[in-house]
Amino acid sequence: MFAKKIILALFFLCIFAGSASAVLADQSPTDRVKAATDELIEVLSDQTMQDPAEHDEAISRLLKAAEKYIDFREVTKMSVGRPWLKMSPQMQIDLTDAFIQLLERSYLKRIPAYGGQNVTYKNELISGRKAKVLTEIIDKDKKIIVEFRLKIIKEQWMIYDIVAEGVSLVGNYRSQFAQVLHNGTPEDLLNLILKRVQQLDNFEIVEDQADS
Amino acid sequence: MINIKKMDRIILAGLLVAVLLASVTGTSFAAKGDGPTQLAQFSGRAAQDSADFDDFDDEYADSEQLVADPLKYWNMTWFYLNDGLYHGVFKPLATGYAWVVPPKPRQWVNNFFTNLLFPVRFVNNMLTGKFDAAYMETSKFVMNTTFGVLGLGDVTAGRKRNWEPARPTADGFGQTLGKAGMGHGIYLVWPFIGPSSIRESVGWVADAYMDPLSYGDLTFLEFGAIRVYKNVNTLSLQLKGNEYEVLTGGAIDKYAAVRDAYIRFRAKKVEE
Repeated sequence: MFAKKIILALFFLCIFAGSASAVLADQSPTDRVKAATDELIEVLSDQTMQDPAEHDEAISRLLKAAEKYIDFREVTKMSVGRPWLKMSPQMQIDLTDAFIQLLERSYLKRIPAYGGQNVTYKNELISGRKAKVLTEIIDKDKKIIVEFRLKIIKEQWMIYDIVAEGVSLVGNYRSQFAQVLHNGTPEDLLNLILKRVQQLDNFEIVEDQADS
Repeated sequence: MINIKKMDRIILAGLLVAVLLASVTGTSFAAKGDGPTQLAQFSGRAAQDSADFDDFDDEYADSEQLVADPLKYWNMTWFYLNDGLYHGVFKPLATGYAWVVPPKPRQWVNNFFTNLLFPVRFVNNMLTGKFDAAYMETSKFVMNTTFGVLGLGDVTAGRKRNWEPARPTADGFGQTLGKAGMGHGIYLVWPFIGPSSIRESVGWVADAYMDPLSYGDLTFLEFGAIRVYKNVNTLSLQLKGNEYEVLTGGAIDKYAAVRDAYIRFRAKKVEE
């Protein structure tokens, strides 16, 4: 009887492992990161993107491309941490949307800087449904180490964190959000993010005018 | 002269005492994380989310408070002063300077100051056992000081090399102390200098002894002026999208964002 149970367990384990590797076989984490940087660079290097009048259109195209590779709900969830569990589904959606707007205006535009020609893909570590892709960017005599963290979401490797020189995007936001959520409500956090987005938009208009 | 040396010694002694104090009290400052929150019921998605956090808490366990910050309000005062100076004084200054002086001479100035700090890198490479990096630094220093005309040119950049040091070169005594197992003590922000900690401040003072500029016959004002010029020159080479602006630009709490990034960046430097 006992042996039978073990065999059965092993059988299920094989099926499980098999299905997991079937997912992995589709596209490796490194391929996903490569595809993501390639596509974002393509969108950003498009000349029409530089036109200030097309700004909103440019941002939405950028986001569409990014959403294929980055799971923003996961990024937001991890940045918020455990308080996420007590938030209403609507608040989770609102926070994700607001956070996407903030990331678009600050970090997303920077991705091409990390995706030039001098990127070397050093290593790929897979552990179960999570993976790390280690890249090295050579800028003159300086070496910058950037690590992409991915997990399988809906049968695909999705990026949920980017760690540049040891500084994790999710970790950095968690340190900021924790303070706000400790002293206030999820609404406070939402308003703070939206306020920052507003400030960045105003600042951008000023900068565009200064450039032209 | 004697007075200045005496002052130096007093400062050094004071810092050492502070370090000792910090290493004793450091443990009691250690952050207390909330235990896992138990919820009575889970819907399907919430259960999945909760499981994710169990998993992720290992990964981001230390994210909420990395370093003790008992002097938060003092630090915040200097942080916002520095941030204001950056945007209001130093960045406009660097922008104007970059407009007047072409990039090449600015790169030479940058090379010169980098070359000048060779003793700091060499000694700390030796102290941390990075002998290959120490050798590389020495050969760079010799080449750049002679063929690079006192370090103005970086003749070794981009050259083919027989080998690369296994690890990046050391950047200061704070890193050496960290490698020896010393913690940060507490987080500190200094006016004009920026984020630091007790450990890194001690490192900074030690490095100053190896900085040739400290041995120049300079008044405090001249020394300060050279430092400001050096930093403005460096900033002029990275005006667009530098790390500080990207980090604080996207932050909802600049102070917390910089503190987190600083501590993590130092931790990585110590690790390598």
